[in-house]
Amino acid sequence: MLTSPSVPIAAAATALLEERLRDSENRAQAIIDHMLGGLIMADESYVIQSVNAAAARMFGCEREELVGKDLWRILPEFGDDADELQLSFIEPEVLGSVSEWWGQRKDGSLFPFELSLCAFHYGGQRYVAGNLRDLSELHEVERVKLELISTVNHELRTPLTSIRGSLTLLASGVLGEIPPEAGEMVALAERNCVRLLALINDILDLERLDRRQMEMSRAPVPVATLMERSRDVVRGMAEAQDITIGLHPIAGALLGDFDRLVQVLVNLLSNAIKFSPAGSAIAVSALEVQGTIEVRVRDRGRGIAAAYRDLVFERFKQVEVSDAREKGGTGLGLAICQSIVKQLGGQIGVESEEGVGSVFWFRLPAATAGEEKA
Amino acid sequence: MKVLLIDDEDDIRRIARLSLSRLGAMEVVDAASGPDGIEKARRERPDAILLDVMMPGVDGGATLARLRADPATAGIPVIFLTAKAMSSELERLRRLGAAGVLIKPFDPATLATEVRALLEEI
Repeated sequence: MLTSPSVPIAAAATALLEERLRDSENRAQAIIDHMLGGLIMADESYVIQSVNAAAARMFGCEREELVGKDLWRILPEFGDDADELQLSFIEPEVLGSVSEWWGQRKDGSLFPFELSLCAFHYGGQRYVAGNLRDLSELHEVERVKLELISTVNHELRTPLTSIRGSLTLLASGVLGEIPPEAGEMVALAERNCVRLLALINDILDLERLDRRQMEMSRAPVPVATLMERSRDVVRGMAEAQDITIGLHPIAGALLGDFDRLVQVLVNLLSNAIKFSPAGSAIAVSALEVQGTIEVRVRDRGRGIAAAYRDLVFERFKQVEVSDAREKGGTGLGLAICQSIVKQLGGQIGVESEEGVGSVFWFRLPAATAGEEKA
Repeated sequence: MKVLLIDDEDDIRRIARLSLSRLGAMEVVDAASGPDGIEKARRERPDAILLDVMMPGVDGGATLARLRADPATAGIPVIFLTAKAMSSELERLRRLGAAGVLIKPFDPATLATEVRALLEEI
């Protein structure tokens, strides 16, 4: 009996296709199973359809225990109310973006994880896939870092304070005259102690700013008061180098934190003094631009080459390697200024011409008349 | 002028004592804890008290409260010494009834002048 040759060929082709498809699926599954990151897939009702081994490990259970569960059951932030979760999944901007969540392990303990979501269609159904990264270790590292910083704060600052105090008393001569060379050594030790304390304080300031734990009020800060108070702080330093600081305030007030803004302006003025030739003048001016007030500090120093202008706001970046040693800065001052100004919703920058001088400026919202009266 | 200095750190007490006595010509009595300080305040009747905020056991705030509660010491001006320079903390300390607040680390060269200036403001 004759049979059509196309039937076994079609059957063989189908079998081959099926085998290829199985291979492809097995390969994808093997990759997913061995991924370091967790993967959870849910259908459009947010019922978990599959999880990989890493995700199961994160939640401290077997894969089978997760499949079939409602997704929000393992996200305790939502409690029994899945509406918010559903909404957040529907929002197109959530898809593809990375967000932080708390997950609940089988034993009830919580752990932080990072989630990136994507949506896809399969067999006419919409699915959501979440890529998870356990952040427990990262959080632990952060905790240890904070503990270390707290230790530095107390254990390093306390003895340094005593060393500095003793040296200051010795240098003052109240404990008896000391020979000139010994006096020089005491002054040298005192100077370096002050520098070390300044560095520790700067690191602590930056750390607090990074964690947004530095207190910042938002109140009107009169431009003239800000300039006068800041000049008072650096007066001694300026006089020692025969540098005059001219103030050119405007009426009006910036909206910010008085103490922190003094810190910023003092920092800019100290830098200007350090890099100004002896006998020169520094000008502090202000101008109002479209609802903001810009405060400018102009010096007649050596200026900053274009290539370094953005770098000066980075941590531990000084234009000359020798600057930290010769000028006594910590290399953190401008980074702190930038952090403070940004947290107050402003901008900071520098204009400079080599050999002519620099203008460091910061701009903050101007306080309105109503706020000024308040 | 007689000043009572209450601070749990020995080194800080020695430096402040030298600074106040040699540079400020003040008579200095010191105490290493709140209770010891309260006892000395009653006995010595100082013109002013320099009080560290962070001390184990009875801290600066509690020490001030006890000093205020005793008629014998209630009128003595108290200046806090604190390492926390945040304005909310300074405001909190002033509200406790301090005559002033000095930030640690203090400068031994100017400590006596600053103490006198704060006392003159009262």
